Amino acid sequence: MLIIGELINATRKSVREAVINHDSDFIQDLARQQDEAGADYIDVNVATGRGKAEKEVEDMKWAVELIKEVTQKPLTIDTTSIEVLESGLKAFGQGAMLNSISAEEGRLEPFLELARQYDCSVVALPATDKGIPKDVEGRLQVATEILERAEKMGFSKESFYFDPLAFPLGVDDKSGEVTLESLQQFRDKLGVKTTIGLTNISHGLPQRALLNRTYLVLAMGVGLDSALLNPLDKAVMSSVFATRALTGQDPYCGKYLRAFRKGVLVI
Amino acid sequence: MSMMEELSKTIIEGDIDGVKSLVQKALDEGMEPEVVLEEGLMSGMEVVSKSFAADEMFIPEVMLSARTMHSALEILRPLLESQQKEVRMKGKMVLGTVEGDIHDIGKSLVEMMFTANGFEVIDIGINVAPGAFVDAIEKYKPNIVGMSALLTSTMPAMTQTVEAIDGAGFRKDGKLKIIVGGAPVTEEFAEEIKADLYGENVLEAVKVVKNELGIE
Repeated sequence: MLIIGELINATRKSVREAVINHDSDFIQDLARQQDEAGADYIDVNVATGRGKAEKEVEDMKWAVELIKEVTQKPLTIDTTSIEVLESGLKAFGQGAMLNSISAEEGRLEPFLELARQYDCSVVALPATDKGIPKDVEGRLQVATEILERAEKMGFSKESFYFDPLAFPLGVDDKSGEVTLESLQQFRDKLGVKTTIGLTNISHGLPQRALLNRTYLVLAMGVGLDSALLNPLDKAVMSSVFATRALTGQDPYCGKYLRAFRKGVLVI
Repeated sequence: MSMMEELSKTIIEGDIDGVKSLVQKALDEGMEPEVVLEEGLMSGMEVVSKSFAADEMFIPEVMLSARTMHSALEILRPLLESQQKEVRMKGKMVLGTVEGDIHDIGKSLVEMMFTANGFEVIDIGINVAPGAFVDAIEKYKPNIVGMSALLTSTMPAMTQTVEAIDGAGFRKDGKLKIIVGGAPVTEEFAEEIKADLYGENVLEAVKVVKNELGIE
């Protein structure tokens, strides 16, 4: 199970301010802390919505260079803009992750060209210009299309993490069920790796951490390969360690025990 | 419990079956449709809005209350309209997510809360081109246009949509107001693109629109 640290995201107020003010210490601290807490990748989203589009291109370069100074971990360049993506990949070099492509106009082949050039793994979302299909079948269909178009360009399945996209449960009470079923089908019918963003599911409900954590465990139970989450959240990380051990992903319970000794495990 | 309190309670509890029979009963007993709406149903919805703002009620409950309101309005709207009382509806809103952006959920919540607060909302969907906003305004003649963008890369489409609306002259007489929102959208940006109103969240949006229209 690959952990993508989600904290460097400009939709969070503190990060947004740090990006606007170019507060390097703040961003570097967040990168370092997530690295130490066990993140395998560190997500970077600098979309502040302020200034012109070129500003975000510069901000991405600024952030990636900074973060590289304090961690060896690969980065996940999180953007819907091809220019911002290129700026991030150029600054990082080979072997980053791209978050994300979809079947929306202009979000597939051009993004994949860059992914090829910079040898990236890729998060893929089953969305089209018409939106995100509500049911499992619809999502599987879009995911299949994405995979076929990527394979035509010479990509192999191994490059991809498919995210079924969870709607908030508060708005759609079948969302958890649909997401879990989609994960299973992506794995069984397409043979691809999967990922989820953890926090969408609980939007608008009380005690969100409980829902997020339980959802993570359920998703790991159907073979989830990766998740975008807050690695500084001890409760979430404890669930990750426990579930890894319980699903045969932790030889001799080594990671679980190391986490215990580090004092990371909480109930 | 009075009939009005009972009506209010069906809204708060999201009792769809209950509200239909109760509205019918109130009308059969000779109550005016607008009294049923204003003093019964809307007062329930106000409780829901306040509880939601105070984190005492949550989105699924508010949705259920809004649906309950919908089914009551199905009975009441034809009666109100036949009495030329459509002014009782607080406003008409055309709502969409701008071109290039397929985010649906925030917009749906806005639709839900405005409907629940007595607005007639026409949801024209996601990935809506500036021209399609213009066409919808032409067709439905709303007094509010709401637009949502969830990506910094689609915020420019918001600018273009405002320009298209002004290009068609819809804001000349001051009767049409534009409200914008969505995670990356700020008040500063709203001013920059000459939107009339900005809602930081769905409750704020309802509040600023009501203020603007002089409701309550």
